[in-house]
Amino acid sequence: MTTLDLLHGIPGRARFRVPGLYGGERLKARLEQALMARPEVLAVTANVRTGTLLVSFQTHRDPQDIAALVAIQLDADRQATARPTPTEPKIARATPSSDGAIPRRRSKDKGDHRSAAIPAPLPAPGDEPWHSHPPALLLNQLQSTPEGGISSEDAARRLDRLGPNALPQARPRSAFRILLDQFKSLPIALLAGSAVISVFTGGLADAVVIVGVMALNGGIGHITEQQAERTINALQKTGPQNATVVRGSRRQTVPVATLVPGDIVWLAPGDHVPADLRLIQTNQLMVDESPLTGESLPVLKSGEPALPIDTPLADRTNMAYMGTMVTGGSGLGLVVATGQQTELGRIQAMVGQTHAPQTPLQRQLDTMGSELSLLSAAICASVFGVGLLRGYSVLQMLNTAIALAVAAVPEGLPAVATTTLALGIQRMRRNNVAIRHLNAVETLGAVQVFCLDKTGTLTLNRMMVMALRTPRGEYRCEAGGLVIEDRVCQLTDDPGLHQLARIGVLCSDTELHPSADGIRLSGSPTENALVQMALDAGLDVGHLQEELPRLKVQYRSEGRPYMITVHREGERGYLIAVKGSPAEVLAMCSGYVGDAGERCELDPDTRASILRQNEEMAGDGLRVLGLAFAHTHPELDLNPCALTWLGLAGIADPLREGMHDLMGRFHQAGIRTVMITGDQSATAYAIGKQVGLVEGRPIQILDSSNLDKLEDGLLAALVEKTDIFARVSPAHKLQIVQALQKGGEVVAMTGDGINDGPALKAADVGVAMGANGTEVARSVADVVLEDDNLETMAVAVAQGRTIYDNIRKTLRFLLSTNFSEIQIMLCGVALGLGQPLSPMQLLWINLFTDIFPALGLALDPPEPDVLSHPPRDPRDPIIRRRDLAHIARESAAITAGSLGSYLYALRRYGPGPQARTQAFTTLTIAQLLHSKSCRSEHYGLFRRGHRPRNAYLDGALAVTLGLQGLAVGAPFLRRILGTTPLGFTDLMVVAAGAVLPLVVNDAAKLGSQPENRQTDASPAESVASTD
Amino acid sequence: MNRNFVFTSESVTSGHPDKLCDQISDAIVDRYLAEDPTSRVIAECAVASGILFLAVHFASRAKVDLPEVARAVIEDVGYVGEGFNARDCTIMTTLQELPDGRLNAADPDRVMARQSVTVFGFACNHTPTMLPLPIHLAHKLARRLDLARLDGHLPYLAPDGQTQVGVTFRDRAPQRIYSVAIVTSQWEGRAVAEARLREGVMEHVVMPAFQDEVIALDGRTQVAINPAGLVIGGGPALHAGLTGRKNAIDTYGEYCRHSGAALSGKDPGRIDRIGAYAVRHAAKQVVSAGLARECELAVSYSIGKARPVSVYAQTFGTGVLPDGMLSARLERHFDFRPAAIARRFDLQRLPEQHPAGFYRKLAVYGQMGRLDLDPPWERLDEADALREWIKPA
Repeated sequence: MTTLDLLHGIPGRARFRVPGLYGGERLKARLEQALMARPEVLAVTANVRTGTLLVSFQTHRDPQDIAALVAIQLDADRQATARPTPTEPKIARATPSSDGAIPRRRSKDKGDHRSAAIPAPLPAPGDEPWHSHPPALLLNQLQSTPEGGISSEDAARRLDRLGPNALPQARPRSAFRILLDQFKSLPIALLAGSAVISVFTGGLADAVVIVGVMALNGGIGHITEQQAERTINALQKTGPQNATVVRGSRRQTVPVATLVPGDIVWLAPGDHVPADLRLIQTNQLMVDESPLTGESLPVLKSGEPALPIDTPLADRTNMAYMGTMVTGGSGLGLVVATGQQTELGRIQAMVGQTHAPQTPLQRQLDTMGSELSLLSAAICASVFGVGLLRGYSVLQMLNTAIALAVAAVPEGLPAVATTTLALGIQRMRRNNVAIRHLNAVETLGAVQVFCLDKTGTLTLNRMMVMALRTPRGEYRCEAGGLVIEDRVCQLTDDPGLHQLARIGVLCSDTELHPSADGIRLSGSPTENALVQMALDAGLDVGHLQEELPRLKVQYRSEGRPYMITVHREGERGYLIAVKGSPAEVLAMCSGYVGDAGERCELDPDTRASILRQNEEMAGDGLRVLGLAFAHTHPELDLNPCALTWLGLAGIADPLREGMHDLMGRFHQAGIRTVMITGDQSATAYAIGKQVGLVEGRPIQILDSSNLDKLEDGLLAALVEKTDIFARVSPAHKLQIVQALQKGGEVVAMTGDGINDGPALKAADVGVAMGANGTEVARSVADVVLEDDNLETMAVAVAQGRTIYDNIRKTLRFLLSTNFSEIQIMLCGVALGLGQPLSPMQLLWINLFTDIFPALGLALDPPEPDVLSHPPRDPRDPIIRRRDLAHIARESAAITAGSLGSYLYALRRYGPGPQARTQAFTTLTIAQLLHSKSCRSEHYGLFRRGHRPRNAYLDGALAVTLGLQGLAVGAPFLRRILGTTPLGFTDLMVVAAGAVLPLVVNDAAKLGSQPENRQTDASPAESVASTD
Repeated sequence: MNRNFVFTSESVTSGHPDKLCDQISDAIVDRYLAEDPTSRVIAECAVASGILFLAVHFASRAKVDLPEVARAVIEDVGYVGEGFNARDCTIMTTLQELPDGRLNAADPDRVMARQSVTVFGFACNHTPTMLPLPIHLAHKLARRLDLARLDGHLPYLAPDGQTQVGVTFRDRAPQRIYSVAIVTSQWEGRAVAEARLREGVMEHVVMPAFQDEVIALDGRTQVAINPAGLVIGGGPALHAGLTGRKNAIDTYGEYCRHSGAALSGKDPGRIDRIGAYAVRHAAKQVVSAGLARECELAVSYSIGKARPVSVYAQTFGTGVLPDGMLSARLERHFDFRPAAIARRFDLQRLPEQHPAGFYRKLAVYGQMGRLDLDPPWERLDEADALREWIKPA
């Protein structure tokens, strides 16, 4: 019997590792079904990604009993599936699911008892060993032949059984879904609650107003998010539709969706690989696998008979994977996996199982919301109790208490938050940044670690000639042209250079496609780079290609690391162009081009110096090619020692411009930058240094091709320190992001490849490249950079922080004003001064005079130092204890002013509308003035500071003052609010009661020094040497 | 002074985690110097829980892929199977460039000691290597242990192992082998039982090691092989390692004094490393010139001074000249200034001349007495000059 690994067990819950479950969709279904039928089992979840099974069961059961139960089930299942159905013997094995894996493991278990006790290590993700089988075996298994393929009928049958070769589309969020998401936050729930309460207590008008606020809120969020969704969807390109296959011995074109395992597919340049293929025949087949592996250079594929089973994905040269693109050559491949069983499908499935984390703001607002509801309940109860003791009627007190409860909840907050976030999305759109969710705007401001995928994010993912080295000197290729010794030069200045550019063009398969916006090149990236260099240097490439037509070509291959082309030159002459591995090309040369264009003999010293230059360039992380030529007759065999050496071309995927500055800005903003790359450490270090990944301390590089082997805790500890992850396979990006998050960090991750999908989704902010990124990356990202300009991320971070700051300012304003209302009511009731404010007046304040200043505060311009302090601690509550003390003090001051004004009116006019109007007006104006004070914790009337003006707030104040004027002056509003006109003396008292709190509160700010927020920056670490 | 005693020294194999770290550190030094002899580099290495940590401070024109260097060493040592292995172990590298530039040839008087250190050199006539007998034999056993594993004679052996030899001395001269102890690890899944292990180790390790020795095992010699039980696995997966923790093994097996400063992982600009070579060289000349049967030379450097603060030789009553006079003469004869040592031994260029690595090879089986590598400090090039001191006029 199988022994199961109990990974984790508590009463009522156990997790097992189940051999064969990894990737076994069918086993999952069968196991779940069978186990659920057992009475002691409450719930079963099998995870095919991790190969584990989670069972919930009756708590009195021993986990070991459950283990035995699962084992019995598993054995029974194996016996049932080990017998292949006679009619369809092969295809069942071909689908990479449980059915193939289990019998294999089982036979091993039988022979060796130890391996049963210690389950075989899980294969790395994507380990269907197609690459380790000879093609003949697979062809046989799939009942196909390279010449004939499978019959159309057979294909139809297989299609019927296995389903179409399509990936489940990441369905765009529907309009309804987006709308629903708007109402899922706690503040909105509180609002809804207060609306319901209002309805039951007869405040229908209140309820209508509140529902109106909610609707407005939902509407703004909905429209903004839908726009973003539309922008992102517009970036999606439609994939390939057709593939060329051999079926029933005929070559035909069929829709990609109808491909089935066993089909024979032809690949030609420009094709997207339509399914996972085991290559049978290849002819210089080059495939760009960057979307899957992150490697920016195309890979030369071959029909290699069989590779070791543990060959990493990127090195499986006998496979072509769905989603990658053919850049050159041709090939014939056997479809071995389609649809969700492909590597691409697996990654997509992984994306589906990755959960997007809750944003910090969501968390904080939720916490605050629940605290506030407790608080408001307490206030209701106490006001109600005090009122009853004072002898007010139950109904009267119920009304007041509920009005207060409503007052305690900052109704304006959701509206303000939504509006600011929506405006944030709009503003970023102007920078060509599409943000998918409102909350992502703010999360950007909370980011503590920025993980940068090197290829495609830090670099252009496009090969370019960076430097040329002719015997005459070293040229750097810059935006302005070729530069030697700090001056720009022309091709004609150096005959050798001119010839080098020509040979680079001739000895390539690159084709020119003139289009409206310049010339597009099609071909392999390295050849394109050489042709682009020639174009940039002013060579008429098109003319050259016509003038010297290619007669013969010999591609590079195993054992011949160079390419040779032969061209007709003039009437009788022929030109031989060679490019390839510098050492090999140089070995075939006997001379080089001298300064004046003459041919010089290559002496050993020159050879040695060229080889040294080659090593130097390679050391700088360049891919180096040597170029040479000869004039000859094609009839003569190429004499391998008669070439003329031209020089070296160093090609690389260059860094995007401005990355160094961007890193600096991130660092100043206290954001750690981390690079993730598949490069070797030395290259990674050079790039890390070039972009300034860290400042003032040693660079820490984690070099591991197998992070799976590390314990989670260990990895979490290591990632805290790591600046560069080198030799990382794309599948490990998710692990890195999650390990960082485990350490409590808010993580942003950039990516462009298919393989980045899971990590982008798991990150707090996933940033995808819009122009050059893949669809998978875009479909899960929170942020899409339409023009791939990473620099806008600094703007986005600044904005996110500003929004958070502004939400805090708004919250502070709303809480202190609401508290002042409660305090006034509480005092009025407790001291027997009557009700200083009517419920309608309270609602007026909350819905009108509070909201406009709050909106004005929400649009406060960024603090000048917003990007020069570290990010906030995501664990900090949005309103800290210290803030609460400030809020209490501020609300007390406002209360005192308003109560004073009320007392004056009470003495002068007695209790009634006149006195209430006095309190109402004083309170409203005091609150308006308080909004000015809320702009800063440190600056105010008495300490000006250099803060930009907030025109929105000033406008809001003017509008609100006008409204308040109407409330006291306009007869209609007067009737609703129960207000009376105020005399001059009354107004003076109002002014005093409103201005004095502001003076007191701003004076209190003098006690707090503006903190130097940069002191948190971690001191440079030093590594002492052991002695 | 009691001159009759038993003395033991130990050595470890190339797969011992501490020694693995020493070798990686020195392989890094080799790579930097091979590409750029003016490199300055300090390479610290630690391994724990199967993770390798590298902290490298450097100033060099060379570009070195440090994890690759480390992986190559791990592979050479033999960690290639399951568990901790060269291919997919995790390597955490901390890289910092040194601000104060590379090593350049300069006037020896102006190159000051950058460290305050007392270095000890020793030589004696126990063995042709002029090392004390216990450490000489312990190294020989460790080397045999590695050889038996690598040449396939004992395929079950894992790279991690330890050897110890006890020698009975009479009047400070070795008399007989008192004890031999070997602890070796075995691969999981390939391990053999104790009896077979003992048989194999005796045949392929102990016997060949003593074959050409003057003092061989006798009937009373205690030979213990894995006395505390079999070790399965071993290596970095089992215990941690750190560069510079095996100073006694690198030098004289604690038979005499040794400096606390580590030798591995330092460039030839470090006096705490090259000083040890210089004093060994001087001590060896003394013994081979017949000035003493054993000689321990202590030289102290003070930071910021080029010349040593003190040179002090001891001959344990075997000297021809009084110790005081010998010390004074040695100080006059040998140039112990840091730059002079580096130049005399051509230390910066040794890695360039040894493509397979120079310092890295020193890092296992001891840094002294390595006749197999012919390091400059083992040459007897000054013995004749010293002999002049006792020639009858």
